[in-house]
Amino acid sequence: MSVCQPLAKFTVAVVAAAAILFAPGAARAQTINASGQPYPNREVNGVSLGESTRPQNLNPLGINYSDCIQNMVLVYSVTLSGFGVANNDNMQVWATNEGDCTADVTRGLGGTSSVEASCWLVNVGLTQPNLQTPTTKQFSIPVQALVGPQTDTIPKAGTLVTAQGPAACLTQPSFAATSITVWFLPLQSNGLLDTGGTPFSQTITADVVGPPAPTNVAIGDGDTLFSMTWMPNMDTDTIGYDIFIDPPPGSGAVVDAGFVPPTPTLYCPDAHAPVTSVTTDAASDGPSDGALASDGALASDDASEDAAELEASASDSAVDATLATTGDAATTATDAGSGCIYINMAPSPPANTGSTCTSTVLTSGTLVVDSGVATTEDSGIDTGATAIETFDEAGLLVETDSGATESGTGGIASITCQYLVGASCSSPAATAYSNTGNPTVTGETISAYVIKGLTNGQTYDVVISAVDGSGNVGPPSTCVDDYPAPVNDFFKIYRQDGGQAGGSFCALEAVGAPAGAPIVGMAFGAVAFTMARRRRRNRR
Amino acid sequence: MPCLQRVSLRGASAFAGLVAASTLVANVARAQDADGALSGRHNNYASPQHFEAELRFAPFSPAIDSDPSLHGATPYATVFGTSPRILVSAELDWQVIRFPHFGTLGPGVGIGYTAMSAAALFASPHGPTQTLISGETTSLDIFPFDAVAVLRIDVLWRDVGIPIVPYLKAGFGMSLWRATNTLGTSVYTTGTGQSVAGEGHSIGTHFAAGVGFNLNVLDEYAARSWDEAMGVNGTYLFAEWAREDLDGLGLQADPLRVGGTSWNFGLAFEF
Repeated sequence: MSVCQPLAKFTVAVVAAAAILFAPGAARAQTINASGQPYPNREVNGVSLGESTRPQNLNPLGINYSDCIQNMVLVYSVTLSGFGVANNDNMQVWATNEGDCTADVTRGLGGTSSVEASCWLVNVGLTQPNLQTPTTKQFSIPVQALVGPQTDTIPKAGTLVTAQGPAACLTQPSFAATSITVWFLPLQSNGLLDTGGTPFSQTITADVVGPPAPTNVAIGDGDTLFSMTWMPNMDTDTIGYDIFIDPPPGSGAVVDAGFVPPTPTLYCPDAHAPVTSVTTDAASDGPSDGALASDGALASDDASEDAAELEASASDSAVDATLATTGDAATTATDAGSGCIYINMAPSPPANTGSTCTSTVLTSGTLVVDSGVATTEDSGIDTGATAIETFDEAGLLVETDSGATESGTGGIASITCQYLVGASCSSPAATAYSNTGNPTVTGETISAYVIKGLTNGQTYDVVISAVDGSGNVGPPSTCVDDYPAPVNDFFKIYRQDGGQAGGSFCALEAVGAPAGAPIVGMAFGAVAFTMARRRRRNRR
Repeated sequence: MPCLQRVSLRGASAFAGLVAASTLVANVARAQDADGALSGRHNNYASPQHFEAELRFAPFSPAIDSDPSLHGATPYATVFGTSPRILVSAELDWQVIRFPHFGTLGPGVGIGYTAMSAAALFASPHGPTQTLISGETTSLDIFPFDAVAVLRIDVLWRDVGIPIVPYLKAGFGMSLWRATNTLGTSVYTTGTGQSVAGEGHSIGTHFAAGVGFNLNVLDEYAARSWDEAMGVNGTYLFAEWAREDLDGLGLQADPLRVGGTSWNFGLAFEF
């Protein structure tokens, strides 16, 4: 072997290295940077909606169920540079709900078979682009592709995840929001990360599941109103509650055919029997001339009229024991003198009172069921599919297609806006699964609301959904129903009993001497003026 | 009437006991008072005294059901029951005239607030359970005002050193009231279709008698410090019987009788 042979090889190697080193563009690293637009633009059906479609208090830059179900597309503007023929790198867009996609194993590469991918490809990006100078490119990513593969159904590396359809909007495993990070990666032709490049990432909050339904929903009936109460739910990002009622107030609903208005009757306790019927007007208005007086609001002289006793007996449905004295006769009484009082006969309740709700529109909702978890436990088979079931009235799903017992963790209401109480809607027919305005009630811990403007005697069905910080309207609560009815408050009873006070703070009630109260007021004023004047004089 | 007599006798006994106890406390304190700092007299170190402010609390039930026009009906008790509510009130007295070796006389004005609330009753039995208890709330808010002449007999404290100050008040009272339900101010529609709002005012007389216990004897040095710093001459714990007859004084035909008789307890500050 000649001594010149190794020297020749060394010389060739040096020259080759120098050629690579000084080749045009070879020394420039790939960088991917965000452009001046920090958040993606939103498009639905090709129409740009800007960076945000919601108020600031409703996670405007994140993803909610409404975005997903509309098949919204996020358009990212990203500035690329350093990509050249010399490095042959590609640029791809990946997403993950576990934070990082720069490790090759997270994309299903370079690891052992036991390593599961946690990132999925959402845009194939650019193949060997020649972008040596900074250039802004736009990349569209369907929301359904971002939120779809959140469970263990992430496809293999290289498989592009496209819009998954509505089913993708129900894959979030719980009502808690998740963070999805979008990665713009410089990759070698074999898919491995080019460690010489600089990736860019942006994290977006995704919450496509509404809060759990409020529990213990109850109606307190009043005069043309419902006083609703409920137990607040446990989702900490709850911002309020939407209340739905069927039929909507003011919708021209007809009083239930089963409702019979009270029949005013002149009742004489000593005789223990109704003796004379009177007109409705006379009884409802009470004695307007003050000549008639009352023994109280209750009918019987023999029965206790103590309010506490009344409450106790009423709660036990033992009204008859304290109020009614003969047959069905009961309550609201106005003394007609000589031992007789006007009473209202107990009305027939609406036909469906006491039964379950009859509304079909209020009992619908969608429950997220992670069947990949639950059915595996029960049957040992992971179907890898996501089941979508309809809520029952109890708000819980107990049967799935596989026959396994499961329960969901959240969901979305699918009630149209025309049944929404006290909140704005884009249109009556729109589904209220995303409250883009203000909910009926604002505040996580609020647990009461008064629905006004109802028709006495009309049965209404009511459900309540919680609204989260992303505007998702959760599944409806158990449906409750009842009917409003006339109520006698203190002032009405006082007036019916013959009292004459009232009018306004400044009114002279049933005046005998019109100037009375002002005179007293002037006297008070004179005393105050005298005091002030004397004080000034003393100072001098 | 026998009931009233019993109350009076009990009150007299309690008052006598209070005087005796106060005298005992004062004597013990005086025995320990080497430099005379515990004297009840208006000493040179004391700041000028012209006013008294009171903060008081009382269990209170308005005498609404005593209205003769109700003919024995008891709408208040029917709706709100018979349990008294807490009446919170405050008063400011101006001690305009001082009678040497007797006390002070001057005007005073007071303001207070009390409210009661209960479930409203259905006009007829409701629902399958035929309940009468509705989901509505009915409430009554009362804002009492009074303007009185106040006679404070502080000779015992100032001349004798017994920390007891009895007093009398007499004058006029006026209360604003408002009846509400879940929708706001109650409205009653008369047989003629006229709507009457559930709010108004009632005027009448106001009388009160009470006795204050001067707390200065318990810690004279603290009392002196407070006087020097804040100008408070005396701090009193007091009990007061008050009666307000808001029957309209003949000027209102039928006001809501939101006055009543009450026992008030509280703190008073002379300054």
